[in-house]
Amino acid sequence: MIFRVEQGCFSYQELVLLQDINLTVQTGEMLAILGPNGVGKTTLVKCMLGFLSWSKGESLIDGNSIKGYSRNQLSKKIGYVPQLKSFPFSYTVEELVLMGRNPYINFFSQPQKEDYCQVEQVLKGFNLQHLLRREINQLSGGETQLILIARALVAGPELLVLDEPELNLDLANQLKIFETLSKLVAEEKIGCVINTHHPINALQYSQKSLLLRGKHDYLYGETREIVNQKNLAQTYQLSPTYFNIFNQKLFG
Amino acid sequence: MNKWRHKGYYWLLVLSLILLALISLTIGKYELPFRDVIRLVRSALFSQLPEDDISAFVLFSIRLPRIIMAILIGSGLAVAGVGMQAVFKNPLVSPRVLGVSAGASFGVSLGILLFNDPILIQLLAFGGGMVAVLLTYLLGQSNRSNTVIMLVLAGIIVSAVFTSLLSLLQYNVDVDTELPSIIYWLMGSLSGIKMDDVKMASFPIILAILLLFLLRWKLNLLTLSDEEAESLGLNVKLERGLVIIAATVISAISVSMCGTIGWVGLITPHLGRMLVGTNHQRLVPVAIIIGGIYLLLIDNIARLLTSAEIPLSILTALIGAPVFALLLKKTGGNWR
Repeated sequence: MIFRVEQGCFSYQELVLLQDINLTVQTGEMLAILGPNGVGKTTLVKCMLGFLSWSKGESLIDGNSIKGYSRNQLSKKIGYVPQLKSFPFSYTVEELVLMGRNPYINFFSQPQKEDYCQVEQVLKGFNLQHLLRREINQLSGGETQLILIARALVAGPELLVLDEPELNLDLANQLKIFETLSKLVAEEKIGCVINTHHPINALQYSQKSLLLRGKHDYLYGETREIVNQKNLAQTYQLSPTYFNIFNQKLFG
Repeated sequence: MNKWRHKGYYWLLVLSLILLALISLTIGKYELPFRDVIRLVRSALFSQLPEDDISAFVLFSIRLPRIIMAILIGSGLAVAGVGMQAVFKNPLVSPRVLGVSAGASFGVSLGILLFNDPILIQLLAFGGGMVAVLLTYLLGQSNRSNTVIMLVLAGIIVSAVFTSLLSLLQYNVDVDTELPSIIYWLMGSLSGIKMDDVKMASFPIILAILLLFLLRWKLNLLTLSDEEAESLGLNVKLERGLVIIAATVISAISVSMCGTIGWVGLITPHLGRMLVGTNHQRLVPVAIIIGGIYLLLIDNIARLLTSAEIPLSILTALIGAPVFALLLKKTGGNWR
């Protein structure tokens, strides 16, 4: 699948938040979206997914506008992993992951054997089948994040969109999440769009990066060309010596 | 293994409900032992009932409709509570959060004041409840902010308006005749229920319960954040709308038939969760049965406890609250 955004603009009332966004991500590719708080990363993701509609421009799947897809068809194509948070009602892991099968379950129907099989298979792939009967609110942050990814995967999407998957996770768990994702991208031939605050994760795992710098200003291209000291310092308004100090203290 | 335990609970509850319904037929001020009940049921089914038989009249025209109505309303309110708690993603919500009770209560008073005809009172109560929720829904529509919080706020506003309108009516009616009848109606009782009422109420209530029963798995998704649910392919607006309509119909009918009965819709979903957990696929059927048992039990106590019947709304809370508190203490609020 090739997912593209063409000349995407989004304005809220009079305020222009995003202008003229162009990007492409395809299967076997990971795209990292970086940028300061409040610059519109989440808005960008929501527009891409169709939660918000572009004021101008459009998102395309293999050249077809996503407006032509029903919500159901779309969720079979694109999986979404929200930011980690606790649930008001605690389900078991199996019950929660099963919800990812919703696009295949008719209005008045219940999940069938096939749906349970899919859940088990995806969890096996993650080596998490032992968590099947555990309550979701009793899991660690890293485990919960993996479960949310599993939930997005049981619908068999070709593109996975994640909103800050490393939020509140320690370094080891961040590594685990990103290793899992890049393995998925490499093996299962899905595409990945990741909203992140950690340039290191982008540098290590993503082929492409989009650095959102301001209202009408962004950089997009190969990660190694986009994510560098100069661009980061400029975007986040860091002192030019920021990375040197970081280097010296940690590795010096 | 878990599955078998849940199935076990389920059949145990169904059995208790049937047993309780049978026992309820025999108890009351008019002596009617179980033998006579069976004899009367048999003759009703296979032959002609004797005319002017007092026992037959008590059984089929007083007790039976009352028992059926108690089960219908109890089950309905329970499943409405489950549905509303899912829609609002909050286990503290009861079916009245959108103002249905306030609207229906106002309708009752208006009916008593204007017509004093049971059928018109029931219709006005139902209409009042529906209008109140419609107002809440329109007021809570917003495309820019969290719809759930908007709906709750709108519900508070609409409830406040209808409650003060109700007070205004109560302040102006005849103190000796109309005021007591308004107050007693609103306190809730199943004592005057006739077979005609059951015929009128059962169809919409059963339909609403059936709708929520069929949507039971989708209720799981409604408890997620709206965006999450939508990204999983759920039509959130449609599903939420259906649940709200079903819960409103049930609540409005329950006020129109037997006054405001609190607590059933709040407590029975929790009792269900203690037994089978949060998964709505299992919770909905269990809540339906528990609701029926709960209200039938309360109504029996209302009939038996004193010579003058105690209003239902008093008993549902007076008995329900301590029982709930005990269970809460015992389980530590950890449902399962």
